[in-house]
Amino acid sequence: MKPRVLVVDDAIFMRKMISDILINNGMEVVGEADTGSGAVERYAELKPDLVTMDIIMPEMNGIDAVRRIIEADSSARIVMCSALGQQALVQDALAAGAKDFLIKPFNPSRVIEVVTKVLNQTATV
Amino acid sequence: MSPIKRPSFLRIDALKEIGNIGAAHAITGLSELLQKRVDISITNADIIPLQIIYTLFNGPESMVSVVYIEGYSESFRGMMFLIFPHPEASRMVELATHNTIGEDRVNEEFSLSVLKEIGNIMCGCYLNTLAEFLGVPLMHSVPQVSHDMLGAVMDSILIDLSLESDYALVLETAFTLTSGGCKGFLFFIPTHETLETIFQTINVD
Repeated sequence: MKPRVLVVDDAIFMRKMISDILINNGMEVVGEADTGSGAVERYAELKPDLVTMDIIMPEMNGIDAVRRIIEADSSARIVMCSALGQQALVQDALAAGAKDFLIKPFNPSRVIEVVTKVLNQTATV
Repeated sequence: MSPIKRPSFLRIDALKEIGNIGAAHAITGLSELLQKRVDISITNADIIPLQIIYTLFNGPESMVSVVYIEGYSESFRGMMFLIFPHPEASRMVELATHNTIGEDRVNEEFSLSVLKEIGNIMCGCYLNTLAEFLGVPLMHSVPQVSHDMLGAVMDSILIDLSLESDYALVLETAFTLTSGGCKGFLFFIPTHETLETIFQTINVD
């Protein structure tokens, strides 16, 4: 069965880029969101296997959205995708419950490497 | 005559170097996104009247695409804006998406989204460098993107900056894509208080 992914980013271009990479590598993009609060709602509705989450978004930022999602489902698998790769922000995201961090811009092989690792890690827990 | 006191030569030199490194990371981010070579043609740091930016283009009535982002932390506030002249903006979208869009479609939602993400990545890389220098995490606002006459865009930026005069200390980077015939400009304008934070952190008199 294909892994089901929710793609969260306020830029339609970046959602398309990430979705294309995932779909071309045998995954299913079950939904998209363009705000942190939209991500929380879509996660509750879709229960995806994995979420890719931007940080800087309107309404609610990605790190707060991770906290809200993890509060509701501690087994949620979330990979952050942001151009802000500062160590303190990476640590904040991981402390909030994200499983890994992709720094934009990224190449397709790096996205698949991280997404696959997170899907496999949590599958064995 | 600028109404703003000019920082010492050493401080301007230090800012130029910070700008150089920030610009290098921003350009690297753009280069990785486009998978193309991008060259920095100018980096500069100086107090200038902001209207001088018009001379980099064909005056205030020239059409441009602008991405505008505010970087911030408790002790830091600075505005960044990325400007592409009209023909180059559509070319940049084409290079990022590998699709032909034409000059008249640069104002469509998808094209603006591409430019917004380019600004997001470039400004994010620039701010990451500043964060390392300052030893504090920096966040930034949601990028705003617009396609308009340069004069109209600059007016709204000046209002947002709430400057007491039209002069500001500006870190400027000009860059070109040699293969794509594209050029763009990245500007960073720190607030006066932020400049003091930067100078204290790097300990330059």
